[in-house]
Amino acid sequence: MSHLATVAVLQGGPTSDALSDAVQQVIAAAGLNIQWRTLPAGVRAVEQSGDPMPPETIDAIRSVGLCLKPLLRTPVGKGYTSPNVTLRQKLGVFAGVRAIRSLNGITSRYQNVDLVLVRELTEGTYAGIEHTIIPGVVETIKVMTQGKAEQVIRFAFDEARRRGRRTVTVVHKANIMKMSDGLFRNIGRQIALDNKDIEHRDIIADNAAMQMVARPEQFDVLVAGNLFGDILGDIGAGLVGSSLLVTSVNAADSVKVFEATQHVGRTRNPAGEISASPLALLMPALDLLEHLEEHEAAQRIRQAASDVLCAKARLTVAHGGISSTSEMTAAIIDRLNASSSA
Amino acid sequence: MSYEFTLIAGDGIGPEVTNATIRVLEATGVEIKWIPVATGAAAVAEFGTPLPDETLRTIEKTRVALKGPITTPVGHGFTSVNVAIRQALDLYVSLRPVRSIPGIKTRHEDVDLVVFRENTEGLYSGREHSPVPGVVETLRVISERACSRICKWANDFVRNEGRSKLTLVHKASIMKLSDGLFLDAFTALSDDYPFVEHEARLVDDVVRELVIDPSQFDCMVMENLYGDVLSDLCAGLVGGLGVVPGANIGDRFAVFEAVHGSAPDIAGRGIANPTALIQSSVLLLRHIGERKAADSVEQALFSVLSEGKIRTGDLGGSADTRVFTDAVIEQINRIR
Repeated sequence: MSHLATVAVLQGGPTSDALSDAVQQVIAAAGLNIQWRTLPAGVRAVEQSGDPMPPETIDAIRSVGLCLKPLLRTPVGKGYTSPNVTLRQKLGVFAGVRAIRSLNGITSRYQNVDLVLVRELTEGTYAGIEHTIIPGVVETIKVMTQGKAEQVIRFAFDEARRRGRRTVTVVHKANIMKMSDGLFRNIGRQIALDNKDIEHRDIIADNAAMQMVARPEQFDVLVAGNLFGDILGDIGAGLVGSSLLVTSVNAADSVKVFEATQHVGRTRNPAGEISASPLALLMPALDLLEHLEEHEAAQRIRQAASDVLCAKARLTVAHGGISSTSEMTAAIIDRLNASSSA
Repeated sequence: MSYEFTLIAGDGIGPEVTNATIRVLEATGVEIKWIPVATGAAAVAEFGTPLPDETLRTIEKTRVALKGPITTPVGHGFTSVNVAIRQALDLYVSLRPVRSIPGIKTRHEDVDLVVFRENTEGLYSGREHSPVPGVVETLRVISERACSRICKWANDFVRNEGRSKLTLVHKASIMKLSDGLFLDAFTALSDDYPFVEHEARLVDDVVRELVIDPSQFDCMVMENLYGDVLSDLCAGLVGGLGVVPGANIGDRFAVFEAVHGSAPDIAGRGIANPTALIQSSVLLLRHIGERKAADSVEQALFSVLSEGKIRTGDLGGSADTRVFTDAVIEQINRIR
């Protein structure tokens, strides 16, 4: 079996170890040969080196170019910054791609949701530029630059094409913020002229939120600034019923980090075993497989996970069961084997 | 007692839906004398501005106004008339209650939420500039005074309307100073309202959970931009802007309005749906203490919509504005 790719996988402690074991087993069972390079991060890295995101880990991710990552907890005490944020900054991540897809077996009021949201990750009010002018009055500065807007919107069109999508919708609030969001909207209109194979629309942010909950099927790929992207991404999680299903690809120039968007905590089952849902890291891993053009394998794993959820047996706590992470993983692998022998 | 209120008919379908609403209010027996003022496109023709001084003076005199949708002319240098009215009269609360309407089927049932949106600060002040080419800076100002007064207003509303819970929606995890100020103001007031349940949650968490299970929430108070997005999201849960009410309220004045657009494509044809503005008039009646009349309008409106035989075109029916309004009035007469 030929070696498909080398992928860095971050391990932050017992729960994320269990999740990454689960992913590696499932992908191997699907017949794919990925060489995993395990790197310490988060609490695990603090134990070893005192740094929740050690430079060696970041260097290794950069040299490998692909990384699979659980959402890491910020270690308590000593004023640690979030290792998730540190990694993004050090890698120069400029966009986050959220794949928002329904999965049969996860309950939701909405069926067949299939959206992609591209979010700018460095600017806007989330850049955290704030100061107190006089006591009781605070000013936050929202920065929007032509360079970042062009980069993220171009990226959105490229993603749309790579994923075989038809429409890119630019989300803005240019009716109120005529200069900053006006810039974002106008750059969208310009870049659309270079991408005539993809349909372009723009929409005001509050209307986008309303339309997403009323008729999500009218959207395909959305691109938004930092704050609107945050909000619309979580509306998307609501549409598919769980943040477990929403994966995030953080994109820098030559690195892609596929990550979970939900903290799984330290969930244990009544037997005291780790019972985090394997979907937390498996769904981003499926995005990784799509990136590697292994569409058929990704689809088979998706179906197997869906089958296990629908069968309502051998499920972890988050899915209403009492099984451990490894038991639910075994159930998914059993399904995979059953489908390939059928 | 007889009241005197300002009437802003508005643009597009505005005159049709305000007329329908006035007829409904008449049927309740509450006596209201309306003082019409030109605002919006009509005022531009007559006075050269969409918001003549007379409009503001009249609202200041009558304290309360009913307002149809107004279109802000694009590219004429006018800022939004709606925003200008809020600022001039210091209407610092945008009140947006959202309820599932019997007979209008959506994915969510039994939605019953209230959004209080801070109306005067945040990113809506239009303070923007470009320090160097290709870079734009927008100022978002948050003051303790503005946070405190809307939190107090929201708490009073929750208590006086017999609601149970108030959620502060924020992002203090990222905007530690500004949203932190809002969070502090909210927390400081909580002790004064011992029978209101208080919680503070992150905006991304709230929107996700609103979509999954809105019954986790009751009343929600928040900064301007979050409020803009969340009030429309909530409207989306129950059928859109065409069926939800809205009001902008300050300490001295209040404007009850349609939050939907002016629908120029169907203007003048007598087929617009007045549901949203009739719902806003229910808020108006409650605001002035005419609770019995408010209840009868709401009950009548919901019973017509729920029966489903008489509906306007936007809700899949064939009734025109007059027929629909007549049906609501007939129900009010039955109830009275």
